[in-house]
Amino acid sequence: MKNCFKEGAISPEFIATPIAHHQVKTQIGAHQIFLGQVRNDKIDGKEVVAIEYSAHEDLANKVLHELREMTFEKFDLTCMHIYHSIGRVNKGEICLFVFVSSPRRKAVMEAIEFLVEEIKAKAPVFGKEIFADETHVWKENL
Amino acid sequence: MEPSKRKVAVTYYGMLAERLSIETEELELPAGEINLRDFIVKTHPVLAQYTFSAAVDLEYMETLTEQAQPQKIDIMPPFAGG
Repeated sequence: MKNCFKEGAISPEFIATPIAHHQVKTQIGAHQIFLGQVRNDKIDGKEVVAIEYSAHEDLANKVLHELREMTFEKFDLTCMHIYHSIGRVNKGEICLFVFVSSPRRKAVMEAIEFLVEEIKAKAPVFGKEIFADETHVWKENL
Repeated sequence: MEPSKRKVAVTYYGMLAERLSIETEELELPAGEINLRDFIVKTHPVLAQYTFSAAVDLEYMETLTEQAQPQKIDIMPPFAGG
């Protein structure tokens, strides 16, 4: 089963690579990308400077594999890539990269929304919001 | 004859592991069908105030049947991915 986790932030260079690789897949007519970025929320007057992600990686990879299968069945997609950070990601850096491709634009726009919502709801990933003084609170998806 | 005891490895994640100051432990499962939340809260009453979900051998689950012989139970706080 594919490991969807990457240590630390997902770099812009890492995101650019699959875009370049897909240029040879000329049946594709549309890509859609979702990038999750660590936001510097203010909580009780303290600013979040990073999120430290942990996960139940075996279960998360299984859930993401099942989500991939489900999304391919539901939408007319050619390719799909999902990467999530593990470990510390500083504010402003990318922590989630979802990339879908299809011959047509409607499929990718619908698929990306479906996938991102499912990932947030079902993948067992946990996040510690770290403040400048290194204290923390645990994040929860709403 | 005494029924065989069901022992299982239980792993806690994120804020739950932090709150309990443990990551894994071995627990003996009571006889009969088990509501996993009730079982965990009975074992660790401090978790009553927390929202959590459970997975049994990598499947999300809320109850265990009387016949189940799980290898591993995972107790997880709310998800925060993305």
